[in-house]
Amino acid sequence: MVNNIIKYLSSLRCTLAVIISLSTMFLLSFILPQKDLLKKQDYLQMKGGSPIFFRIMETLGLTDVYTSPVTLALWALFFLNLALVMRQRVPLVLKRIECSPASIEDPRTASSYPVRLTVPLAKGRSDTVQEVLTRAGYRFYGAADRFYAVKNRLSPLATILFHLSFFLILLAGVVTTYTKFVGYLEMGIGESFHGELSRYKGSPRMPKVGRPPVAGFALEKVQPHVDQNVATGLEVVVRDDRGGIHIADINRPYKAGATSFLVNDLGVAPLVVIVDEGGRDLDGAYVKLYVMKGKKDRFRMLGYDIEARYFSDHLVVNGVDETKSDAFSNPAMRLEVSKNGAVIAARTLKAGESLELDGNRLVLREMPFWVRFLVVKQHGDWIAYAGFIIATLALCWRLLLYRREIVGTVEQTVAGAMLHLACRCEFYRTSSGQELDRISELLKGSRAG
Amino acid sequence: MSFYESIFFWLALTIYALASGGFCYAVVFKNEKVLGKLVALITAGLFVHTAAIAARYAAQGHLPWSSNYDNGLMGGWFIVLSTIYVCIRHKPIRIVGIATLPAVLLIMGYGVMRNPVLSPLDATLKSFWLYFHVFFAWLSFGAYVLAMGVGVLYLLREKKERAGEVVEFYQRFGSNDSLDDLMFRYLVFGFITNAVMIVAGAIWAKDLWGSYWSWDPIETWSLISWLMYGLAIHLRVTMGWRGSRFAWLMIGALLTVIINFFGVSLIMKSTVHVFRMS
Repeated sequence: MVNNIIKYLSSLRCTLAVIISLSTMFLLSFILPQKDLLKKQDYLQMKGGSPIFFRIMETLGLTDVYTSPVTLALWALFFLNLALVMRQRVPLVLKRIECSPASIEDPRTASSYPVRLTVPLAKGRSDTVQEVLTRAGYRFYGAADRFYAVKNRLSPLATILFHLSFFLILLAGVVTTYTKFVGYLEMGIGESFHGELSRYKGSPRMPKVGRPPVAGFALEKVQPHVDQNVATGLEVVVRDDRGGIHIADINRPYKAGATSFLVNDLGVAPLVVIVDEGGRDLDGAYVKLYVMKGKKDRFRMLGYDIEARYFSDHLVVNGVDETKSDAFSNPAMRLEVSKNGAVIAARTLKAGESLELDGNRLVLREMPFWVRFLVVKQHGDWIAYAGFIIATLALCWRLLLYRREIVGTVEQTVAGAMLHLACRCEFYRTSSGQELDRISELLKGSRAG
Repeated sequence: MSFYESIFFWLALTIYALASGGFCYAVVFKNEKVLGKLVALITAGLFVHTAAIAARYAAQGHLPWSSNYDNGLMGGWFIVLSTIYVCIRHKPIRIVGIATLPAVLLIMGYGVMRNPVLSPLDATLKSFWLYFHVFFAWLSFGAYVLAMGVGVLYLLREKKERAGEVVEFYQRFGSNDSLDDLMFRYLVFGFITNAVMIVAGAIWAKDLWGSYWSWDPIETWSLISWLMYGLAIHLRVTMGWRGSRFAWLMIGALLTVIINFFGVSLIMKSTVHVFRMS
């Protein structure tokens, strides 16, 4: 019974079944609502619409297909199958790359060699065959009159290497999962960060092994670039603790050891100051606002409730504030100030302008940006890179530099010495004929020489 | 679309449409004589097509790598280039254009109906790895389309043979073994370049999204596609799938690529592969 299970688990049928099952699970992720792909409120709304369906799906983990117990079990089965297949294949592959006298077969009768060729051999030139085959990249075994030659002898090893690379990628996956730290950090210009966990927005995902990032730097500059309403760049300049300047951008994170600070989002952090009639500052702060793309945001200052809207390229159409484009060429902010539930003042301000309140004045001193970093720290990247590289190289080695074998004998006939050759190539039937034609041409050339 | 690009684009499309009709004619009327002229025609089309790409590059300052139209333009170019390569390298199967050119028409037609507007390169796409990723994607998809094309030829020829007819026209495609090998060669080439595409994409994703793999729908579908072609290699090498069974497999497996290319972004709204900064 156990042997039968192991036999099945190490079979290609099992491999096919697992790959098809995994693919089916992935396909399900396109059909069934997935928590990761939907906004929380959309998901909850859908769930409210059909609670029983969702209860079943959630129980089976199908609303999170990639981490569902079924998928994880299939992945476990995939790697178990791979390990068992490898255990079975490794001795076979090692045996295959060995060359023994048994490899030397008679080309006229060797049934596993699909293509045969007989060519006359000039008298006393039997050594030429070895020379030609060696020059063509073959390793020659046996004697000049009865031989076995092989090219790319070690190619089957690439099969092992390719499948082993999957284990490296698995290892990288496990290492990164356990060491991964993910957090969002919002910083305005002039602010610094020294690894304080309290600075992260929400609760960062802590690593199961290892510590959170300890990098320290200050944000010096944030400069978005927009061209024809397309965000073409978001230049972020940071100064590390040792005074080094680093420029980050979308696609170009600031890296400190194993930690990457990815430029993730942008906002406006205006310096809002409330001054009294005498011009004395009563309160003021850089306020990080979420007002991009027409969103409204609110903040409180000195008992005032302030609603803000942002216009990156401001213009007024029929008395209404609008944005001409997404470029940050003429920024303005609409502020509506309420006190005790009643609106007391509203005006669209540019940097340096102010708004009269009930005896006080709100000044919009400047409108710099804040930036959100996606902070990711993980180990195991190089294991993944190694896995990727080995897999790709092994594929090239196995499928492009495939093994070619030639057996030959020299027969003495009345007409003179005849060289019988037979060839077999892995994967491609027509290659055997082409290879023998090539060798035959080389032999002719050699004779002519 | 810029003015010159528009002229070159439509001219290239017209040439490909004419050539598609020519290939149909060659197959239906078993006329092999026109094939040489058709290859010359699509070569001329490729030059015009290249001019369209150059005009777009000149107008927007970057190669067309990003939008559906860009993909159609570049993808079509790669497939036509591969077809011409096959026509020169494997003369007996020059007729492969019957399968690949309609695919080019579809891809380019779909692209031009979507978003041919000129635009600067989005910040998310400004990565060295993008070039690797997209270049290898097209090499791979081109190879898969050719594998499918050779599969179609194999089936056409085999159908006649099964009916006991020996049609000289089909005989010129080469032996069944050579067609079968060729399908596998394109599959192998596609599979390797597909692997490089996935790896380049994963490395790019690490700097863009912070993770090599996010189980994004397009990522997932490209994995499915790669696994399917990997399965096809296993079926052939280990279980001996050859001939018509393998040809059908090449035709069927291409569906996964088509779905990845067109389908996922139509169905899924939440893919991170839609490159826009909010």
